[in-house]
Amino acid sequence: MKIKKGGKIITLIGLCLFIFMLSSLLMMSKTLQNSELFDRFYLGLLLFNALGLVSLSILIILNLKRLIRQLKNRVIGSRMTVRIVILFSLLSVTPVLVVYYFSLDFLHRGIDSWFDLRVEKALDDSLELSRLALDVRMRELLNTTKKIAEELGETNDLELPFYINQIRDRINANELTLLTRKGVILVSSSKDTKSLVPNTPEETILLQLIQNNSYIGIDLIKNKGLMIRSVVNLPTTGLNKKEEVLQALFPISERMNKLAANVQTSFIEYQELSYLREQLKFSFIIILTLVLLFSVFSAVWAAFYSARTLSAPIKDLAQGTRDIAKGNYNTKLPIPSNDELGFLVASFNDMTDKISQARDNAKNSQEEAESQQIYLETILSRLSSGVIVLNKDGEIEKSNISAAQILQVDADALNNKNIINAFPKLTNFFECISNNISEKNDDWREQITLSEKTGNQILMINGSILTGPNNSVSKHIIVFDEITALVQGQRDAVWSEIARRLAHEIKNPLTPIQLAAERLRNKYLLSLDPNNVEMLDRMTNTIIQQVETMKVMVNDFSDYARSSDSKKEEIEIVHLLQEGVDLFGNMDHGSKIEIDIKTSLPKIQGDEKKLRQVLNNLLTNAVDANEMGDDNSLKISAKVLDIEDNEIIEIRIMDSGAGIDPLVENNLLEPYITTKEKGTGLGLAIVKKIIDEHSGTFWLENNTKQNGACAVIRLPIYS
Amino acid sequence: MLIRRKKINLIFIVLTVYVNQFVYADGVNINSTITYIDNNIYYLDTSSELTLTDESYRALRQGISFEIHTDFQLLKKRKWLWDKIVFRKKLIYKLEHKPLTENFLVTNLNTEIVNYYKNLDAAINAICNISKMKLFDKNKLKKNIKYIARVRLYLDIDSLPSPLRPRAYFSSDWNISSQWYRWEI
Repeated sequence: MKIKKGGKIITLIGLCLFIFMLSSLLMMSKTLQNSELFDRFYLGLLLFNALGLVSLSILIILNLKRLIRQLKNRVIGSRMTVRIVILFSLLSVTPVLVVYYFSLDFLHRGIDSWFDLRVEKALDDSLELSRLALDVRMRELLNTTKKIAEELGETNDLELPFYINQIRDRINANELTLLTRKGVILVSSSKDTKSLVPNTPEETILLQLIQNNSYIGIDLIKNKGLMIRSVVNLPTTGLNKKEEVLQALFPISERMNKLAANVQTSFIEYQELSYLREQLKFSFIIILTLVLLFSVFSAVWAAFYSARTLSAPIKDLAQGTRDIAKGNYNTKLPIPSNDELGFLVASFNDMTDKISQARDNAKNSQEEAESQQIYLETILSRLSSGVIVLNKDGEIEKSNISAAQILQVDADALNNKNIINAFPKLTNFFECISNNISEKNDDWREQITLSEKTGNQILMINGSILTGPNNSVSKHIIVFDEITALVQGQRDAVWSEIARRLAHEIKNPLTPIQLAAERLRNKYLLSLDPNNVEMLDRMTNTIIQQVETMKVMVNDFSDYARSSDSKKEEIEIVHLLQEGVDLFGNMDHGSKIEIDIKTSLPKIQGDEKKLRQVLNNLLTNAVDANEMGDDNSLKISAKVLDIEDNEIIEIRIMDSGAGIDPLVENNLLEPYITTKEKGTGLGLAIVKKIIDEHSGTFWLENNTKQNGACAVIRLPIYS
Repeated sequence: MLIRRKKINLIFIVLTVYVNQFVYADGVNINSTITYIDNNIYYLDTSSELTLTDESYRALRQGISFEIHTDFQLLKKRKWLWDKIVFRKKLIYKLEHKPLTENFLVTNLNTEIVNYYKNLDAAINAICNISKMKLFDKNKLKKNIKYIARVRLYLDIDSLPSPLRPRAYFSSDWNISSQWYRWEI
């Protein structure tokens, strides 16, 4: 804004300067026609115009400097400005230079034509004629003066004052004076009675007379005008022996005086003009040159101004285009005029308006889409169900966090094309999806089970197709949930109910049976014959033992079915392990027990009684398993592990038995699944239930380095 | 050179003469100056030399008249400021050539007295030798103040015909001027 204001001021100054200089040049032209004005104003105007030219040239230099700077900085429109300036300058300067050349030529010829040789010769001749006319007269008067001098030389000094008047009258002189050679007046006679002091010759004339040369000339005498002065020496012979001179002043006729003065004045004026001819030419050339420079500088300056004016809208357009390229669609250009350029700028403004509107619409749509996406992603991330979006080729495009969590893989791993190779456990999952996609099932639902060390994982998978244009398949949406806990819960509930009913239905008649058997034994053991006594004793014992066994079994059922009421407290797991090891070490003398338990294990929170039951069950199983193996060894270890930044205690109980039977491998932790002849199939199920209640994990696995199986418990550390 | 003028009614003479200090400029030099008091009035005598350049002589012969100025100034000396002009007087002579009689006319423009000379030297001599130029009253000078007098002889370019002036301003041919001839008074 400041630059534009400064530019306007400079333009205004330039315009004022132009007007002043034009006026000044017009005044100079006027002064050339009037000598009085010329004398008064010529030099002042000349100086003013010179200063104006300097100012104009400074303006041009400033413009040129700015243009060069713009060229260096590759400012838009600078090259166009250069072209316009050069073109305008050439177009305006060329004709001015031609006019200047011919004007100079005409000037020289014109001024020279004022001075005609014939006129000059005529003036010279007239002056010479005047001189000659006067010379004849002067020569006569000189002779007359010489004669008078000879006459006066014979005259007595005393008679001179009386005689000199007569002589002056006789020769018709205006003044007759006798002087010494040093200029001292001796005697004088004048026709003019008012003139008291006679005119004396100059020293140079007296010197001339000393050299015995007479003097005759036309002199301007004070108060008398032009007169012929004749000065001669008096003869030194005769009576007058003194060195004296005689001066006679003769009048020139008024007519001759006037004519001679006219001739002299004309001659002087002509000579003066002739001398000033070159100076006049010089003055005219200066004025012409000033006009030329004024025209050229004004044209160049106007060229700069015009170029700037013309290129400004184009510069604005280019800048506006750049702004749009940079994304600034609010650019509005000032409309320079109502011509085609103005129409172009107006069209540009319309275009930017429309682009801006389109940009705003697109931005709004994008923002809406982004908000929708964020909304959708938020929902997806909050969903407990796993969601996977597949493209029409079956490749994963998108998945939510729950999907990775359910499948127990990293979120990034889901985008891996070789995910099946990386995670073989997911083979069932992807095969199920792949099969349904290849069968082009529009809306399908399937339950699958993934095998895990820690147990089976049951997933419910729902799939549907997203259709694109022309009802073509564009994407597949896969939504899946882990229903392991649900199924397990349902299963546990069923089993608990069965166990509870079984315990209730069986436990109630067991006591009467046992009591009846004992009463029967007590009543008839002593009254029967010895043969029958033995049979009665054996049979009642069997009933009582079996009832006792059934009671134990029923108690187990009862324990399994009992709700998870537990009393949580801080427990030193090391002590529990040590107790278990001591108990079974005393019971089973045949087993080699290898212990690897860190004494500094941290505490856990749990129900000590239940955890003791867990260890007892597992150690019992291990001892039982060892009985079926060759190597009767038992290895117990406990250590702290750091899994996914969570510290846990891992307890491993390794036996050297036959290992896990593949037939029951997947269902081993379910109730009533056992490979033991006398087992109820509830031991491991109870262990699993108790560990689950302690937020831990439990699983069985076969040993890798030796025979046998390993029971693994992982429990969180109490913090 | 010291020039002494004897006057009967002369009360005393104040002489401040720089006899051997010629002030040369282009064709002009001031040989000597003298200021003296006569009847409480300061007067000035100067003796100068002036030689016209070839170009100016040609111009004179061609009918251009010259104005030759003898410029006298009295300056009050100031310690921290420029010297102040307290009195100024100019004697202007007009020099012309008359082709018909081949004489040179010298007109004192202050007094309008015209003199006629047979040759240029005599005319210039009349211009350059000034005697008893009346200056100022003696009382004009204050005590305890230093005064400097200075005089200069020059051809006035402004008196030349206008077409000639632009060139005359910048040409050495027309730079006919002495430097200031200064003395204490």
